[in-house]
Amino acid sequence: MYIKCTSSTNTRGTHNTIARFGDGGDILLNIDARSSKPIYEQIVEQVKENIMKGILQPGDRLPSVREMSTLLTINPNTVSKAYQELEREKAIETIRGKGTFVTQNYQPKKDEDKLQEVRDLLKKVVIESHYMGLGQAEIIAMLEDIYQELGER
Amino acid sequence: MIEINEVTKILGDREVLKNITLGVTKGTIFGLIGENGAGKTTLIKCLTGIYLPDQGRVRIGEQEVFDNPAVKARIGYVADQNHCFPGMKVKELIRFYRLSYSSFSEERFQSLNQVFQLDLNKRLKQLSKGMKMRLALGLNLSIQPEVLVLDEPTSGLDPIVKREVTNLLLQEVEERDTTIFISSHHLSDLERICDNIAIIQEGQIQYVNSLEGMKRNIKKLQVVFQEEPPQDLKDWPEVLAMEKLGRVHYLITKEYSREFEEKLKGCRLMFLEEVDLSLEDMFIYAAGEGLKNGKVLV
Repeated sequence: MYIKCTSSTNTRGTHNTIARFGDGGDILLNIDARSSKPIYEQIVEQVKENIMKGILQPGDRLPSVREMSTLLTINPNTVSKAYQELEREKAIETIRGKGTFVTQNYQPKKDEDKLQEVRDLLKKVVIESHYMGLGQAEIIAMLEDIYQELGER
Repeated sequence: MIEINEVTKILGDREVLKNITLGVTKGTIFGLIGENGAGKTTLIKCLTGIYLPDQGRVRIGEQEVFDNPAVKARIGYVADQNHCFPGMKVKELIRFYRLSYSSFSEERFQSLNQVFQLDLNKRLKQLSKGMKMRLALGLNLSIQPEVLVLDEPTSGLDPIVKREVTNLLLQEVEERDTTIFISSHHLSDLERICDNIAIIQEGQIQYVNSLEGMKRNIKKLQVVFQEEPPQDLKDWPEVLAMEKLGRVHYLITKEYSREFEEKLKGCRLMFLEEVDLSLEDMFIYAAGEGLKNGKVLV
């Protein structure tokens, strides 16, 4: 298995790690240990983003807990926790003795809490845009742009 | 796995450790942070059974550590300074370890030495600080310990070896369920790898939490009020420190909650945003330094 790992320091002076794995599934992760978001949440979100963008496809194997922890230089318990959460959300599944894979038919679940979270985020965006002088039409156009960028999955 | 219970230690006429209680679960990484002279090394010496606490007790795997070779055989300890036996050759020290620890694996040492690149024929006094640190780490990983205690392990190591060492530690936890107790003031090293963090200051534990919990609870907020902020804002129990920069108020809170955010929003806000806070900043605030100096880093 081909593994490439780069570390860089971005303009904010925070430490990012981007890991690429290649055997069918390439995955790009960018962990910022200084972010106020716990690391395991960053993994959960970014794996889902990778699935959404099609970088990871159904049936692709994810790095094992050990590989992931070494590649990102993070605690294996943190990786386990992220994988457990992803499994709970049915984004990935572990087949004993074989590894962890992206599920065949991952349907992002729209549970109530998450829905409220998204709504809150959008509200924040709308308010900020309002102060910047952006109108409703411009925001909608921007959203459409983003959808296109992500391949409308 | 590790239980430190109401430990007090007096050195000379100074109470270096004051009533310290900590617990570490098996298979986790515990980070101890504190300023110079806060008592980190003293606590570690109590933990490894070098010092006998004046009060309280230290147990590993339900057994007292002090004067208990059976327990000590399962503890790996890398001290902050490693200058025992300066005249000994590296290979002689390896032999010494093999005779001292029944679980010592020479194979393991050989494979570790692929990373550390130590010359086995050199005498210890010929090694640089970083090389001594590599040797101590290599030896203590080779005894395949259940508990690994590391006092400032990454000091003196170059960035490449530091990364290798960190990965070795992570593998230890993943493969052998080793419990790791690590002290450091290189907070950015700990930020990525610890499950739990304790802050020690003047011999007392100021704060213990999981790294995740810390990130959830300690937050820095950027707030702009429509008019004047409430008069008593500084005295709110949630507000740990605050600074004003133009119209923007920076608030540090130790106990962040939805209610707190709602309470703030009730004060006619124009803007509220969370700012990222590194472990280093958290350390400064949680230890109360931010309060003492009245300073908020931006």
